[in-house]
Amino acid sequence: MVNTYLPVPLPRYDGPFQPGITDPVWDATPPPDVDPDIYAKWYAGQLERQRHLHVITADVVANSAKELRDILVRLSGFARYQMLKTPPQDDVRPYDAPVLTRRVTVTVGFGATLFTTEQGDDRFGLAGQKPAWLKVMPTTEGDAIGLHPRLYATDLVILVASDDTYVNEYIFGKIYYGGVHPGIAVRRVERGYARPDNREPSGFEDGLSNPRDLPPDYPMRGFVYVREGDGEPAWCTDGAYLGYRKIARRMGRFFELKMREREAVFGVERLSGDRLKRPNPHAHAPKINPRRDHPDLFGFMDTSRRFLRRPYFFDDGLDAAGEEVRGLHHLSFARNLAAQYEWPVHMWQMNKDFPYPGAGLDSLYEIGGAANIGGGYYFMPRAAAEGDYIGSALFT
Amino acid sequence: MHHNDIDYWRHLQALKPGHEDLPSPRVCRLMFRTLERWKARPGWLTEEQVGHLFRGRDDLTDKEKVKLAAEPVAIRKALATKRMLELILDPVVAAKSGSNSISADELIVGTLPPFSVGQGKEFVRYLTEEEELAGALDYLNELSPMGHIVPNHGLLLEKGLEKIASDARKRGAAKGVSEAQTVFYESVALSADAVIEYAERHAEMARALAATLPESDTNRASLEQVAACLDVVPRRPAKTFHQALQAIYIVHCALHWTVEIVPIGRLDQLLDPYFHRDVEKGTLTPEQAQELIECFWIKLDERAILNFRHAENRFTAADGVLTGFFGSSNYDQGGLLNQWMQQITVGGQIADDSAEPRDACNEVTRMCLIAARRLPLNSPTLDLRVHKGTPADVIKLAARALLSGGAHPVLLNDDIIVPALAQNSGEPIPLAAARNYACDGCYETMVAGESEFSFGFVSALDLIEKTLNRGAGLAGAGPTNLRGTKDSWRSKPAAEIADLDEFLGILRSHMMLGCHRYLRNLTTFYGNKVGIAPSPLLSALISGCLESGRDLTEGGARYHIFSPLLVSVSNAADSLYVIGELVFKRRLFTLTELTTCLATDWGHRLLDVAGQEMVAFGPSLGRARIDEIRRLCLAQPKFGNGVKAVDRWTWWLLDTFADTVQQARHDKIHEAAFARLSERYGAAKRPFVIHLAPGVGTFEQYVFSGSFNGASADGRRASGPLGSDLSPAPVPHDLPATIDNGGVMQHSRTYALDAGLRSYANPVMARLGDGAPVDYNLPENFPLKDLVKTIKKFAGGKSGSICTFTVGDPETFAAAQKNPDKYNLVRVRMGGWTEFFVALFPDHQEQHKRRPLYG
Repeated sequence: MVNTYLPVPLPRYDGPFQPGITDPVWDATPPPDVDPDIYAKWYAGQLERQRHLHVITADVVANSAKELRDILVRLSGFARYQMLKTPPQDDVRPYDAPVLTRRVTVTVGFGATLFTTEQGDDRFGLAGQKPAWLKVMPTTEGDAIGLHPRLYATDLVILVASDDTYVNEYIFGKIYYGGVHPGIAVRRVERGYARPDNREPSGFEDGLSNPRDLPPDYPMRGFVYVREGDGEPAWCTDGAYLGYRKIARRMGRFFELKMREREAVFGVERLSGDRLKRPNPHAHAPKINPRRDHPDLFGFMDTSRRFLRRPYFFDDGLDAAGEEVRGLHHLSFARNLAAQYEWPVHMWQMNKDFPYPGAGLDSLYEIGGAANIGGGYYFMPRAAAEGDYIGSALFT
Repeated sequence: MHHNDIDYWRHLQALKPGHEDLPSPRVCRLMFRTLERWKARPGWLTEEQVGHLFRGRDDLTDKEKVKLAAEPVAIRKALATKRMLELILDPVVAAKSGSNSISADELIVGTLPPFSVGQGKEFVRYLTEEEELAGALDYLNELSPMGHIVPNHGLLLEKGLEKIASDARKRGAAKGVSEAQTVFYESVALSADAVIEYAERHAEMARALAATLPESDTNRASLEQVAACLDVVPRRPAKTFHQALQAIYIVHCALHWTVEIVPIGRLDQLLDPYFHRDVEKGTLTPEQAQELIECFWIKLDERAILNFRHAENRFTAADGVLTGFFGSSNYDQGGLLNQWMQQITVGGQIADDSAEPRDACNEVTRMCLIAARRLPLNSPTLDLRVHKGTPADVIKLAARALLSGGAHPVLLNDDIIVPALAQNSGEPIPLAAARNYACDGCYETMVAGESEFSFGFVSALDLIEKTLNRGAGLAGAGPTNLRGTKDSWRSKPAAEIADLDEFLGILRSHMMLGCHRYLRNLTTFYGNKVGIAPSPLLSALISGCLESGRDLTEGGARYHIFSPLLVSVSNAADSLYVIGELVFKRRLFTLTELTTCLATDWGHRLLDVAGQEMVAFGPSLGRARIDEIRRLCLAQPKFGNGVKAVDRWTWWLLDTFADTVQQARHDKIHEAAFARLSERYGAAKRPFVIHLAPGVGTFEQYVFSGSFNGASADGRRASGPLGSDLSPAPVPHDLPATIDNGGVMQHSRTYALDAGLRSYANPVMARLGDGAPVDYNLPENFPLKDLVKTIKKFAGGKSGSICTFTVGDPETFAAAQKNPDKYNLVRVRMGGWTEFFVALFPDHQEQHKRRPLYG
């Protein structure tokens, strides 16, 4: 039993990337007094999410590019202020521990409809500058009956994360009630929380396989951020795509399974996260993350299609039939949405003929009872330096 | 056949490496990017970004503006070309409009504009205000070039643009050259210079992109290779297969950006020598050549849109004006959103004068057919010329490509078209030239790289309306125009037409007038573009222009091929059968009764006056009788199903049309006009001859053209779509396309393919140099061996001159209308090119559903 406690890492507010995507992250180098092996396995370069997330989706009410720019200026300024401000001390009781940071991040993304509406209108003259892979999220075989992802498509997504849910609520309220800009019309808000142990709702390890922020190549950043030469509009450099799906899990059904059956659904050992030696080919892990030893038809190795997962739980109570509505806000960040996120979902996970004809869909969606009930695709531009605003390069 | 992109990739993913349907990894990557791109609304240049050559520019001094304004129009056009090619490479412009981009995976670089025939275009304006007004009076402006002409890319590959420019300047400086010719030559040279510079900028950009890639990225080397190609071409002659393809593509881009929407030509004949040379030298493998061809294919289809709501409309009243046409430019833009006229013609016969034709198919022919099968594109449109000697494997490749669902290739029969062009287009065209025909934007045939071309329409249904209705069209019959829209001789009333022979005689007189009018317009307005919208860049690539010192728009080309096209033939043939059989033979109703039925749109335009239904004008008829007559008409056999009694009317119409075209051409009334053209544009060594190559063609205008027609005796409603080209008529638009047969969806007009082929086997086809295409719809499970057999029959001359095949089940079309995303790769034949079904407006979709299904 170790008796050293590490302070959680803080968001990075000064880099080229928007905070809240690949940060907060544990430093690559172990601090003094910790076991380097333990640190290397559980911490080094690992994402350390804040405990709470609000996913706010919104449309812009603007009649011109100028009005849109004004919205983005105000939103960027607001986000920056909320991230950098010191937690107020006037509500701290005399014997409470001081709160030095809430680790607030406000991360802004653009939906495909900002560039071209669902009806095909180019409201702001931005159609030609749309990120190459951004689009309205299409349907998949894993969608719940009656889900039409296009109905969830919005102009903006604002990810508000911190370690205190009421901080998120406060920020959401400012946005929702027009305190930031009346042109931000909130469509939905989703609330999520993170288990401190990086496990998914049924207790399976969920995070160790994420790319890490480790030298010399810093694969986490390499998998997430657009670079020059990627075939994207120049303004997209240092930005990232977000593939977001709200995935409901019928936990009652899952908990009826024996542990071995549950592990068979995931294809991994529950506690260690290690892949089973002979998983079912349609088990979750090999379906979403196959590791074949040869390049695919594009010349890509499967491991090049990884993305960064930043999941949060949700619990929406009970539905009309009395069934629990809970699951995951599955947030995936990628440098190339189509290659790293859509391909694994459509070609592997939801393709009943992968890896061989008749293999079936991802078990999690069949036996495991998962179903997509919402979500969307977004592009998170690079960070705005002080005095600048998010997406400013679109308007130059 | 794959209905959508996800199915397509799932299929490819399951193939083993080396499978014949699996493109290279690079091609897959490029294809993937392209498929995703189609889902978005593309960027467009704004009018402000493009602007004018000198008006409104604040970066020019007044003196400079005055100097530019004083330049001849052709020079200004060339300078506008240069400016346009510079503007689109400006990084700021390109970032917003998508006018220029290079992807690291590309082996062929350049960016096409989104300027489809339906969406219009932007170009640097160069006219003065006075010239603009003068142009507007003739419905002309800077956007008036019609493209539609096959450039001579052979010249480009053999000489290079630098030599073409220096030749032009040399000719311009020679003794005895007129001032106008000097201007023309300089305009050509300036345009060629502009394209050279445009290409060189691409070499720089490819190198700059390569420099941003990691050292380990293999695309660094391939981009360097692309840049090395562009160091040579199009400035100098191409030396390698890769250079040749790159040269053609970059010049194709330059042409399309500068308002010349042109096809490619006989690609296999152009590339084959380079292929063999490189393979022999060991610098190219067939696999690499296939990869290059497929990269080229993808580049030609970058600008497709899958949603008609993503379209632009930049049309003016004078866009893409047909030579010899006077009036504003309004055609079925909505049916042309993804049509760039990018025809690639392959196969056929070698362009020589040998007594026996020699087959021209080569390895590149086969590569093109493989690309058409493997890649789910709508453009380029591949045209395969076939004949008795076409190799069996080529026919099989064609059949396989067709069954993959792309409606490529179009098939053209050389044994019919070559003699038709050579001998039946007025003055003879040399055999070698006729054998060198290539297709224009749809399938129109012309001597590749040496022709100017245009066409005009004569409506067969319109002729029947005029025959029934004393020279007036029936669409306008009613309270406003009473009898209808008067347009031709006031011929006898229907009641006085004694018999079928008299009926046909009257019809012929209206047809004759239509042909005369076509010629009158052609001879009157020929050459009117040169002062407003000359084509110096395209002229550089059309044989005859430099030799004559004349722009393409001023009679410069070696051949002048014009095609009067008969449209709505199948509906007209079905109608003539009804008239002959039910009116004159069986006397089930009178011609007058029929005329009333049609004038009232089968009773849908009866007036309600004081509670009583009545006809607006002319003899009255009760609704019950009208309904009875329509039932009778609909029940009659239709053209395209091997029923001789009906088919004979098609042949009669076509024979009569070919006769009247040539008769009108030699009528005294046009003698002076033709003499004037000969004198103005011809010379002793280079006589100016207009070749009239009649044909049949609606192209994609079967919805639009039908909108002008009244109801027809075949049972079709007023303004309803026509049969496309020479295809059998679709099910009328107010009747169901399918029937429920015990829970199975069945098409309501299903014909046997063999019977269909018989309908097109007639000697009259050899009189139609421009061809007469039929568009067959086949079910998705149509057996390969049966299609191979069908194509062999066609190649053997047993079924018309041109045919196309769309593969799609009735269920597929119906489902695609409900769920477009699941059917985003379903493609249909638009009469001359391929379109994505889901990108079509509903009227067009309905027409495709209603075309007879051959099984």
